[in-house]
Amino acid sequence: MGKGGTGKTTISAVLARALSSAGHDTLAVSLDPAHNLGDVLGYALDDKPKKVSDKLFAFEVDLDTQVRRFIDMKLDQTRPLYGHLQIFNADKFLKALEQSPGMEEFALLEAIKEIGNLDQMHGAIVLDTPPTGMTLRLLTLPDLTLLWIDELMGLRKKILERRAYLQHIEGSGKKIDNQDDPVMAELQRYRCEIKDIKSFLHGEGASILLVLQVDKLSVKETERTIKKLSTYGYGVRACLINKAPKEDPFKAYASSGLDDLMKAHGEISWIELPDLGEKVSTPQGLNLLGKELINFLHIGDLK
Amino acid sequence: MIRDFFKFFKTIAQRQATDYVRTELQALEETFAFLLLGGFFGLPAPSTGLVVRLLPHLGQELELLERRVAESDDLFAKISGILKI
Repeated sequence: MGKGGTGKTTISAVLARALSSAGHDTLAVSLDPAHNLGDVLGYALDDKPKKVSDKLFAFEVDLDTQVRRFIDMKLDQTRPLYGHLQIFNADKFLKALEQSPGMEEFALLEAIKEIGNLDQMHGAIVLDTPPTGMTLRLLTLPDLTLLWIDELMGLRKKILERRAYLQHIEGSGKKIDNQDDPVMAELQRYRCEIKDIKSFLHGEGASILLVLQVDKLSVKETERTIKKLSTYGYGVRACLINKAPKEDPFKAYASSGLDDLMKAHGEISWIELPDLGEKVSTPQGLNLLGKELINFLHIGDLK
Repeated sequence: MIRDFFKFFKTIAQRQATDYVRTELQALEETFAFLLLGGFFGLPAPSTGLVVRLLPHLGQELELLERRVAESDDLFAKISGILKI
């Protein structure tokens, strides 16, 4: 992940190619709404995994389609239930939700759930993320959602206990199980799903690589990102300095503030990737960059 | 006759015993519905995804809200309902 325009997609493609060349069954996924993973890989991609080379599959998550499909499914489920209610127009409510804040992140989370299910089929998965802000919101969403689910489950439990008590006193005598309540059952189901997503994102094999360039804005954003990620319990495995200057790098590092950031975070690997200019768009350039990455990241144990 | 009297007495006693729980239940049900649909009037709301996931199962909560609106004799809410706003 990283600031827009720092070269996340190129590096994701390079890494995915390098991993597959090293013999790993690799899946490259673009989560960025402005897709160009296919352009870098030189292969037209859509929202279904496609074979790019011998051990490399790739696809691009189409957020608009994902949101629309989900809303349409929920509309079909809610229309018969709410059709008669005067205060609530489910159609309008759900249509408005399509454009609501948080919906894209939710669709991304659903996409990650599906990618997590593909985890067993691939030795390595490379996720090309959207720019930092959206990715950070996405990464905090599982924890936030779990917090809400737990609160709502507590409240629901109290409601069900009181309903059961009233039914018992008033003589229906039927024992009510928490599982009989569809809301409680859905909360429990969603809790399991979110837990799975969390363990996929926080799992031992998962690594976050930050991509930055040697300029003040990019360095500042990287600094904030490392701080925020650590607040949410995510560690950064490496920072990839894309297009590292060949001449007088120390001067550029000092003036951009990168020097200080590197000193402050000695626990992170800082990897310099050379500026290949036009060559980066050629297969030779991608392979060269891939080899550099493999050497620095000790790719054998990377997932 | 005496049996009917005791039955009536039992109903009254039951009603008194459960009044507190009934009121508490009503408040809890309203809180639950407000938490999920609070976005309508500016309360902090759970993530959109969670609300949408639960929506197909919230028929009872929404009916409850509709009843409250009807009982509150709120003309604006009624007009909004009729106009499907």
